[in-house]
Amino acid sequence: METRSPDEVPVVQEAREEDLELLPELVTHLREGRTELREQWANRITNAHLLSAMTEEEIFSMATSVYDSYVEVLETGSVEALQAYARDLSERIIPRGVETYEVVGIVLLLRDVLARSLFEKYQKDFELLNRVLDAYEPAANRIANTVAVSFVRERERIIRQQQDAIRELSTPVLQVRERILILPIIGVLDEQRANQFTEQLLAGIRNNRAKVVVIDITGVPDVDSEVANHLVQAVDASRLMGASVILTGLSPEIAQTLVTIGVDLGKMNTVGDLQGGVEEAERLLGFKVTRSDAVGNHQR
Amino acid sequence: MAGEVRIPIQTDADVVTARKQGRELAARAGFSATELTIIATAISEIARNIVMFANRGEILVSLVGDDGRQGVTVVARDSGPGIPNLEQALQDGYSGYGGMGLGLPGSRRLMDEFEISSEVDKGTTVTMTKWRRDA
Repeated sequence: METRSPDEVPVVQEAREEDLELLPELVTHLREGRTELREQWANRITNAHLLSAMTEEEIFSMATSVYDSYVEVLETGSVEALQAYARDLSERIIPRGVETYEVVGIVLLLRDVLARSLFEKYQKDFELLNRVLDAYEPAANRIANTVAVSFVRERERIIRQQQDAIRELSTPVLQVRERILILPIIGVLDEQRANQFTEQLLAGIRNNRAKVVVIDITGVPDVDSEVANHLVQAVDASRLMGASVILTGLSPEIAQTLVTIGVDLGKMNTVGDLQGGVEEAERLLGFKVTRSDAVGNHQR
Repeated sequence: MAGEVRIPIQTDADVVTARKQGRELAARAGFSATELTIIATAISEIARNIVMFANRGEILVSLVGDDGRQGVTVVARDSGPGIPNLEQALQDGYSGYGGMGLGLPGSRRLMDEFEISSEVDKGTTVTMTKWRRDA
């Protein structure tokens, strides 16, 4: 099996040599009927209520580009230009909320419109029509495939990008005082995030030479035994690096659930809320916070 | 169907979905915040086992009621490898994957009713129910 570049869409049907001779005639027919066929297509798109997220001008402009790309593929046999265009188009329309079924839908409608025009033109000669279709169909199907796959791939790329962005956001390491770090965890802690969290925690301990870390899980909606396990391991690793951990933000519901399951967080230093956790951390390091009669104490 | 939700379980993300949808359904039956967390966690533990061991399965959460009491039943089904030694699996600390080994016994403690049946190479079914505690 030959190796395929990841961008390539495999060719599913092959046209015969003698049928390919008909392609130039086909291309000429499509070029001559451009205005009319493009309009037919645009009407079909509107009637099917597709691409409602786009304006009429946008649809017209897109229809022109896709139509011309279509003909170009038939003429050159190469889908490269079409792929590039489809990728570019997808990048623009996906944020607008255009769905996969719409993109597949419009390409198939164009295929139908062009096929019908071929039926009409060659209706007197059934054998010739068959040969023309033999040349047209593989190319048309390859085009539909190329556009659909480009669109889906672009969506996947965007999703991956968003996931990466979310991951970047998700575990900040905050230094609140010398040697004290706060790590607030927000959101669900799945396996991947848990590993990323532990990495960031340990890197933070090393880079800041932290002695105490306050891990706040107020923002974690559910803690089951697996999440608890991740936390225990993170705490153990932190201890190995010479930092002690204070866990804050454990809600009463989660506390009760963990106890019932049988998770032993006894080794962990837990404090109810973040403020208490920070105060405890300061105490551990010998800090003492006193309040002077400065701002705000004007009550009599 | 008003009182039931079915979630296919295959990935970590499905565990989160099962927990969320199970919790939402139970909330409709008026469970307290603690009870909701308990139900969500039990679902999570069992769903995770499916992902870990059976690759894929399904969880069905339904509202149940009889004689004026309200509850929620969770049925988790998979056609995975099955559990050869149920007694061992139901013990604290026994883990098939390096976890805490509290998933099954923990869920049993969390819920009011708990049944498990399993056959090697056929699969496993866990049925558990929590009744609303009316103060």
